[in-house]
Amino acid sequence: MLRFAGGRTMRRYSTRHALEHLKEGAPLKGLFSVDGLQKVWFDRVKHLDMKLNNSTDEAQQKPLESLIQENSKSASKKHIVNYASSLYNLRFSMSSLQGCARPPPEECPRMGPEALLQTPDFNRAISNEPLTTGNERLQEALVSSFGSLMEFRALLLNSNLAISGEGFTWLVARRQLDKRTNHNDMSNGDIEYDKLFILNTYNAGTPFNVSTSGIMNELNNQYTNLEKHRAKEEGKLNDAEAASKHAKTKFIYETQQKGFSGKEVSYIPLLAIDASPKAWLPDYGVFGKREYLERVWDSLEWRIVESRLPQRTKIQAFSTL
Amino acid sequence: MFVIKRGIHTVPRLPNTKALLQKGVPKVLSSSGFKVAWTDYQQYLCDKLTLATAGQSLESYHPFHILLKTAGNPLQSNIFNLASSVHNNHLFMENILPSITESDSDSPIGKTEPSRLFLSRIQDSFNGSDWDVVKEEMIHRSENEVLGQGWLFLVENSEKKLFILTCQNNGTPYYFPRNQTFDLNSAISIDEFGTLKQMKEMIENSTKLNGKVQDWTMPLICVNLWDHAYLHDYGVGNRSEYVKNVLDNLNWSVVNNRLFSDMSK
Repeated sequence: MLRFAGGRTMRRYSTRHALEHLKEGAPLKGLFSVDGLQKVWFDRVKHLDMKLNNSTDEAQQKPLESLIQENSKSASKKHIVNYASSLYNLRFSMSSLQGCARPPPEECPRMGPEALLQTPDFNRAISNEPLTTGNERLQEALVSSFGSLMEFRALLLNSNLAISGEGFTWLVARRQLDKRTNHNDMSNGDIEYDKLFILNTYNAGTPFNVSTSGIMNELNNQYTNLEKHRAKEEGKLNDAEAASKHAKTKFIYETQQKGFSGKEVSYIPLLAIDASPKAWLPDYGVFGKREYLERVWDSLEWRIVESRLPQRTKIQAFSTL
Repeated sequence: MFVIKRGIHTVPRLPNTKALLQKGVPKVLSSSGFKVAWTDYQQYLCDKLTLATAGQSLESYHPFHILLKTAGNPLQSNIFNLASSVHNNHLFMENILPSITESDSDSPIGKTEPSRLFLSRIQDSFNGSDWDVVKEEMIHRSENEVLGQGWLFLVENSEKKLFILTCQNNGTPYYFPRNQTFDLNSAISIDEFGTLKQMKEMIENSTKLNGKVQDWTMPLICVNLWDHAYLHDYGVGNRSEYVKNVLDNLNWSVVNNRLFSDMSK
């Protein structure tokens, strides 16, 4: 019976991933034409959902987050993670795009090579500021983390512009847990953050680092053990040399993972912007990525972004690292 | 006296451009698909490369030399990415363009075929499998290994063995530390980790001895897996169909020429 249900959902646009504000056959005002939205969202969701269903039987019962978390360390299950993560990222990025009042992209002239030589307009006033939509809490958080909204906007859009292949630019809130203290104060379920960051992920990369942190270290351990084994069989084991080599790489991987502060860090995603050519090629052409990003900024629904923003940590001292 | 040389990268002229812009590449790309994949995309890459190298010592180099010179330096990734894709996209277009005889008369006689040397080299390199099997394998590998953007190659190494190579994003076949075969965003297996580690050690050792890592791999067949190449004509999720069309309609006079044939003996 389950298999039957799985087969049925494969063919249609899965309601599991549906977003209310996106309708098949309609444009997303000021950002995507009918055809553009079809390629950006509907075709991709159908394709990724089909691929995900083909790679695992659990796709229908488990939320995407747990599919990502549970399988992220296994190389043989990387397809499950890749498709689940792509779906999650895509849905996350589309959820806060509500369209804007600009003229439809298909009615504007396509950008040519001159787009690369455009001088940035330094005097422009920012449109679609969180403050003007009544999201003061978000505005305040952005200003205190990035200096000003102008700086935040430039960093966000330029980070996305710098992705040459496929990927997402995220606004994330950093959550630091000191491993040395016990987390009794966290037991009431309040999530707190200390600073906002902008982060790029590539291909099916995910902003949730918890599940994969330490994986390089583990692989390194496995690899060194294998090497030791091999050397033993060949009868020319130089223990001291191998051990010092191993200790060095282990240190590097561990520092990369934890940072020097010894705190466990995780990130809470607030906003994602799709950098994939699938998002901007159909409507904006080869030279139109910047134009696409300008319109994405105007289409952001800050209310949704703010609803994801946790409370800020009260103790600020010494946490600037 | 100084000779001042400055290079502005321009889109290479292809034979029969007019026909291509009108009809596209028969059975592979429509005319507007061709415009996105070549006219616009190559222009974009060339302009970006010109801007990125202006005023540097690199500005008078060919894209191929720029990619080799920047491949080892992570701080020059932006330039490497552009030079590598400029070069790859040209390789790709060359091997899918219809040969002159094909487009002049629509007779099937003009259709190019893989040379006997190529076919026997394929059998030697893939345990006796013939070209059709290798073609299937290439399609399968591109589907499985390149999730986002990238390139698919059939390459010949210094031992004159052929093998399939996939590159993520703007990887190059000419320098193995920059093949970018593994997508490090997903979990990697212990074998893949071992390969990466050995690669690292090789580079470290060679730089210690002031030498260079040598790689004499040459591409024979190049397929562009970027959205720019197929999205317009094939749509989302149909990339494999496009790869199959490309491999079925290669310009064999170009591919045969790229293969090493020991003419000196």
